[in-house]
Amino acid sequence: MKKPSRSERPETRVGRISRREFLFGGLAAALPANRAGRADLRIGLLLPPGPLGPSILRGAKLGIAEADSLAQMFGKRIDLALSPVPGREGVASVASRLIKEGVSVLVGGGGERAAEALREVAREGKALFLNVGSASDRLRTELCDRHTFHVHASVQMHVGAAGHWLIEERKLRRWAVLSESDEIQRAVVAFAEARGATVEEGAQAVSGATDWRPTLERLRAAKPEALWIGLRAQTVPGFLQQYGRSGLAGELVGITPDATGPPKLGRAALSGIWPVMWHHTLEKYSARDLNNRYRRRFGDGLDGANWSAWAALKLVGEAMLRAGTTPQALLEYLESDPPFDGHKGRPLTFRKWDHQLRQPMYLAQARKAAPGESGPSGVEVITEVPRGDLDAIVLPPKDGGCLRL
Amino acid sequence: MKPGAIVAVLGCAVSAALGVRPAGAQPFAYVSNEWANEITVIDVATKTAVATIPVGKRPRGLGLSPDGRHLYAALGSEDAIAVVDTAARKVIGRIPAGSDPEMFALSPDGSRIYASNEDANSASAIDVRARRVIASVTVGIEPEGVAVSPDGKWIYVTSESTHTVSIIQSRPFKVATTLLVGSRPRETAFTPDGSRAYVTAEIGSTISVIDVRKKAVIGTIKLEREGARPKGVVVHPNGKRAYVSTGSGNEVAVIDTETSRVLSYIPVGRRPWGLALTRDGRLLFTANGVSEDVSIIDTETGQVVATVGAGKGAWGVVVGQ
Repeated sequence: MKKPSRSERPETRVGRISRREFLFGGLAAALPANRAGRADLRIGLLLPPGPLGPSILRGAKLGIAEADSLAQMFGKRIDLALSPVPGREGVASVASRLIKEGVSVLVGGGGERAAEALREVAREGKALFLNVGSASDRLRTELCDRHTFHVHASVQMHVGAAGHWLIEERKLRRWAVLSESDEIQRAVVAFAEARGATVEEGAQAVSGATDWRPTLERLRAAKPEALWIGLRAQTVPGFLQQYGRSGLAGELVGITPDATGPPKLGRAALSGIWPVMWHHTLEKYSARDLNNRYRRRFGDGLDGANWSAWAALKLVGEAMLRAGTTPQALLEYLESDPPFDGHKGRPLTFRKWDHQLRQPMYLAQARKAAPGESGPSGVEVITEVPRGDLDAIVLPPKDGGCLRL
Repeated sequence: MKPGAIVAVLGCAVSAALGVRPAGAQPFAYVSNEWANEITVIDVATKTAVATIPVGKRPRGLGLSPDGRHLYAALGSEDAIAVVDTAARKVIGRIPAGSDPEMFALSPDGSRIYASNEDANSASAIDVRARRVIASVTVGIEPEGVAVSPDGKWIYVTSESTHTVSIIQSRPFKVATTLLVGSRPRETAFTPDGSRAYVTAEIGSTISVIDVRKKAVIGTIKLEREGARPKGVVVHPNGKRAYVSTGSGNEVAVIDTETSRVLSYIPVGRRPWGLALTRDGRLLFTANGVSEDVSIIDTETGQVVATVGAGKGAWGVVVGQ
């Protein structure tokens, strides 16, 4: 067997993040003697390249600190094995090595391909994979697997959150969609068809496009009440600038399901409504407490990717205490509808037919400027969606769902 | 007549002459109004609001001294517990209580206040007379509810984010053990004989039953009710019923403590939070945060017999004896 190169070798000790940093004050002093021994559960964290990696890492640091804190109270120990992923092709080999080294749970998945690779490794190694970085609907349908659980909200949930709000709150049912992603376009069309809205104009955006005038003219003719955009982060500023100049008046909805949040643009440049999993200004239902804990540790606000990673680590830690340490025990526990407290004010559970964590989403928009205020806008949450049944933002499964449990 | 009794009679006469109602002459209920920064005083006999007491910023958890003369109110935005003279109906002092105090409990003799410190993941024992923290222990993350066993020996502190109850010995003040309970535990209530404790879990929608002597969870009661988020809990003086407020469920669950079964749900105001019973257990008060009122329930009939307006964000309630 080929020996992995140095760059592929995972960092399998917590050591790179100081152990002290993980522990909560006096709890360390109360450890039972057996804590010096082998960890009761090892979790492998695979960090994707790009901006998502550091965001996932920070959320995971808070998550493992809290999970380990709880474990310590009962004489248990959880270790987190960290590994940056050397390109998409390296994901599978790093994940396989982690499993051979005793990791029972893989956490990661920056983008669909990486998540797909982790799903495959977890399935073959009979480990668990908690997806915290890919919104791909394909992973939750045709590629679903019993060993994979999705903490990160899907494309359909992002679309469903905004779609539900457009239909139920704004009464806007005539839509257009402009997307560089087939998946986002499909999700918008499917949600519209299922909920009595229509898509007047569906355009596949050309990647790297800079001149949006022809598209905007078509939109002017179609006169949609709402325009959905699913564009890459680097494409969004140019489009929003030309859209703003065009004088088109429909509601704008931006979908960035794999990003850490809406594009960080200046106040004048960011427009529209953006569905997010979390926001650092949330206060209700103990969200303030979680935001404060994160802020105390890192000095800034918790975003959606931070939240996903925090939630995954916390979930696994709690599952270990309540169910046991083997992947099978953890899997059966997560499938048994345990209510997870994600600081969103209601119990969050994994849906049986696709293993997606059911959760409320939030709609964010650029914060209005105070008189004389300039500079980056930041965003603010305008509402939580849905208010009632969490399945109101997803479509019913075809043929009973991928997993047919 | 003994000298002490003479002093008491004279005291009552002077109070009456001054128009000051002596503490304990008749029971009053006190309701903290989180966003109105005041306490609503309800006359239990007439079931009407008779006064409001400005108390400080963000009052939530409440407690009464055993003699009923002092009402304590946790002031979340002032890092203190206000001390209210119940006869004069005014704040007479403040006790430092750490960052953002939310809930606390008084020892049966009234000499100590036990408080949770959310930001510090700790619980503290405060000497009431000295008005200072005399001991502190580490508990789980996001500590919240505090309750003291009837014999004063044990303090139970719930920690919302670790889903734990820290069982703390009062003297010396140290953690004896920690139990895992339902998701997001909020409050604890003991049976009058101190043999059982009931712990509500808001996200788990459960009530854990703890054997106090064994320090072990011996049962879990699930509220199979849409939207039920268990928060407040009290046990009837006869020990046969426990009452649980269900928050966004807008009801009070009535539990048979012998069978651990839910007997009924009583509709009350919107978002019932704190609960309190009269000494004889005949009336149950619920502080309703969203409807900003108090539902008064006749525990024999299970019916709301009065609704009394309170202030914005009605949160906690205690009843004088």
